[in-house]
Amino acid sequence: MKFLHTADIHWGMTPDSDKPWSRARAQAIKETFAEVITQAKLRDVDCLFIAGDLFHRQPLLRDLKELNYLFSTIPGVRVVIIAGNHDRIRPSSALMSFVWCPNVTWIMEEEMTSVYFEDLNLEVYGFSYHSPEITEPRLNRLKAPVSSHIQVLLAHGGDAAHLPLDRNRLSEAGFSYVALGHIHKPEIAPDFSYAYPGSLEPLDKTETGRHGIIAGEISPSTRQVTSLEFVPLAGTQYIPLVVHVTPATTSMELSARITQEIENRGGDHIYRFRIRGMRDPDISFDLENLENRMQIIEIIDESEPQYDFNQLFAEHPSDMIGFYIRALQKEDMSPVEKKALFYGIDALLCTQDERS
Amino acid sequence: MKLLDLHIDGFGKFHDRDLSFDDGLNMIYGRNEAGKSTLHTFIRCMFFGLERGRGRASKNDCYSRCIPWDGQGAYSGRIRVEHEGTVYRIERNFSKEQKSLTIVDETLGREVIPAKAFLDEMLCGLTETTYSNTISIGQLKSATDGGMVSELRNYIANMNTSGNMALNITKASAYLKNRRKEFERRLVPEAARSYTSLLGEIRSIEKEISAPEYENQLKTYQDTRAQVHTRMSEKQKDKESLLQKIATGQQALGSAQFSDEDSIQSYEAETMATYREYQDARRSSEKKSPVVLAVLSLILAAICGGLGGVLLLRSQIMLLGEFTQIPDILSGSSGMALAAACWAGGLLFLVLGISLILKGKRLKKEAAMTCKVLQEIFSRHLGDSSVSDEAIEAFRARMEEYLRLSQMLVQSRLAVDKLEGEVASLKEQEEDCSDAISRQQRMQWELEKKLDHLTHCKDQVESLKRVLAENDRIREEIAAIDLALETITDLSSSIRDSFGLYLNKTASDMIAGITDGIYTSMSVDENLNIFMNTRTRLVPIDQVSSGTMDQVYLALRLAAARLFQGDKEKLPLILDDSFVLYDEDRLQSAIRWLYKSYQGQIIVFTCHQREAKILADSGIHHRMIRL
Repeated sequence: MKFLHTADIHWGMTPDSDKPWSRARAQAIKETFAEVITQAKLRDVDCLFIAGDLFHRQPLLRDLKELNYLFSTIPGVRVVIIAGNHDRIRPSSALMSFVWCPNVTWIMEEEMTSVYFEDLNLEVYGFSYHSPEITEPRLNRLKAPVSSHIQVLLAHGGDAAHLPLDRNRLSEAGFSYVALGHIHKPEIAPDFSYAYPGSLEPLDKTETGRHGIIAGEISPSTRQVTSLEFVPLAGTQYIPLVVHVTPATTSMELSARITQEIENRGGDHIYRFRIRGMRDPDISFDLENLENRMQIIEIIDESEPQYDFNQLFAEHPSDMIGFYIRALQKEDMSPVEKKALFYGIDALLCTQDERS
Repeated sequence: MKLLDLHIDGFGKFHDRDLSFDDGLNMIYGRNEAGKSTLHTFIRCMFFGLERGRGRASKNDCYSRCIPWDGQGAYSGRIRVEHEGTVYRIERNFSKEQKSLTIVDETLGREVIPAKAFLDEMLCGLTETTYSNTISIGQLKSATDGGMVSELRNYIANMNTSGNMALNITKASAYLKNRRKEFERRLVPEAARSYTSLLGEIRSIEKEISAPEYENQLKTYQDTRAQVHTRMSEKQKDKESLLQKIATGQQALGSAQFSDEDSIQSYEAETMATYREYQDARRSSEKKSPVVLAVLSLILAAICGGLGGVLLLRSQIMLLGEFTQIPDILSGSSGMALAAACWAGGLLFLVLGISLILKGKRLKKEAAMTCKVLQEIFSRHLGDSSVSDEAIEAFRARMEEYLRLSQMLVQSRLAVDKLEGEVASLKEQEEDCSDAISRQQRMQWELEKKLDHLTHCKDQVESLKRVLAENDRIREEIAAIDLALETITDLSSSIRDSFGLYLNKTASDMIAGITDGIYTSMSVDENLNIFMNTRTRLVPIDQVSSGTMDQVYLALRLAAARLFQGDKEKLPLILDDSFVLYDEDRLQSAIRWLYKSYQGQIIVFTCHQREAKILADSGIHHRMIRL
């Protein structure tokens, strides 16, 4: 039995909503999900498991219609869905009255239940969120019922507030496969007993690396997963980079280096730069232009102006600069104190220069 | 200024004693109790006078201690100093009775008036306290008095030297404020407020859409409506078939010209009556007796008529003649009466006979008529016109059927009415459901609008979060600038009334010399707390060795002295056993350095030979005075 496993699509989300590329990101989520459907067709799978957070919010009727259309294009694929914390089932939800095409099964119950597909000898267990959090570790004491069916569990959670789970126990729970969701970083159990596909598309700057789905196969005879692989589908990545500067680095040079880094990796990705090192106190890096031109979500300038405070103090033991250093410099300075030291010294040195 | 010589008339153990000093280094050597401190005190008192303490304190005060031991002779002395090329002689009498101060300009040979003010000028404005804390360095008293702090502070406060510093600070502050403004311009101040109001809005929308009226019950209503609809159409079907039946029944009844049960019953009753009549009539007409009776009556009538005629004739004859032998009774008038009676009887019988014949005819006719009626009825209802008991039975059965039909019709009508009511109520239910569904759909539509708005709000919150984070970052920069500004302002105001700034450099220079470069720099704050600067940190003075501490205080004193004296002629430096704690090396370097760096007269009181030895070893020219 071949299957695809995805989760945390967050259909309807607009990532980086204040950035120029946010619309493209919202569209990418939909397009990549359509690509999942295409993959299901191409790979001729039997099942598509969606382990929660298909929607970013309570789905609107039009969202359901869109997805139902997509599902209707793969009538031969059983689509089994549970709701996660984001798209948890509320009494007002349009889901309550929506009629899916026949190949779609949304397990709406709040308590564990299962659906059985006789032709596949497949029993899919799962339950949906009806509340924003489930702190009770319900999965840890779970055991698959004794059965001759292929047993697959769909579950959404894995942090303290959402079904805290013990991965070892999950491996030993006796399911052929546990299709997990909620954690946005892909993860595959060494024994293939469970997997997190991660978010389908990266949804914010912290979700670095490649994103996609899990494709696997369960042997009908042994009822064990025989193959399981991560299939990258998302085109865009969030790439964090650190750029080191020296006192010799100029603003233009840094800008050119960042541009080069982006060109090397591709302009479709979204970048996050951290600037570290010591910079010339006279130079402040102006990268606003760069941020407007490229897909850069943020540039964190952690570089420090290179002042030799001992040297400065020796040169100015008895004037304002020396006094200023003495007043502020100490061990374990807070970031604000550190900055205050830089600002003050900068101001004093600048105005001293003016005076002389 | 330098000391040239002094003469003690009487001061402590000294009596009529003369001492003279060289320009450079003077080493005054004396064993313990030789009177070094007394001499030191004498010099100070020559400059600043010797005030008596008051009350009990006077018992042990300096005045009392220094009263000449011999008890007689003057409590006085004189000292000759050279100040800016002029030799002055200062004469003082300390005794309380004859206290006096006289300064004589020996070069010009005249007294200086006013003596006190001149002395102040000569001593560069040093008070007794500052003197004791700077140039006069007593035994084990390298640490400065607390009083020194305020003296120094006052002194510095009066110095008009902070011009450049102020300029520097003002400019630096302005520079920082500008940078602050730049950051403030980048702040989005309304972000926090929008954020809170958005959060409030989100909460209220979420609360609103979780209200029961937004619950999606479309499915329930749709199911109910479908059920109601099915039931209604079933009922409708039932009703229609009933109506069909009613129509048929109605038609059947109508064709039998019945309208209701009563009409059937009365019809039946009538028919039954007719039948009975018919039967009666037939039975009567079939009887022979009336006809016989009628014939008999007619015969009797004929007999009676004939008999009456006969009788009448006889009576006529008798009258006319007794022609006939007729019984008396028949004779005459009685015969006539008899005849009349016979005729009457005959008439009677005739009438009877005729009426009997008529009656028989009428009965026959009647029977024929009812028979015809019955035939008609039967042929209509039974299709067979024969009139018989079977027919009437069949008729009654048929009428029974009609009755049942009629009753059934009544019931059906009732059932139809009931069904109609049910259908109407189901219809109402269906309409209610439809209403509910359309209401639900409207609610869902409203809900989706709200959800859209909610998403919009949440997106805004997300972007505001980033703005807020950026604001926080900017605020951190602003806080850093504020801290820098605050620090600079604090420093500038504390420096304005502190001497540390001026003292630091001099003292640092000196400490490097005194310690032979072990310490190169020191910091003094406005409370005279001293820190040694090392490469890595500031070491508080109380953490260094006592020898070093002595050196540091020496440096500080000299720095303070230099500060007070400014560019004026240097005052003599008086060290009273100040090197007691120094080891040989340190002493050597201290003395060498002092000699090299202090451009003025130096007077060292000591109870050790080692200073002299060092001076001799170093080949430093000095004057040795032994007490």
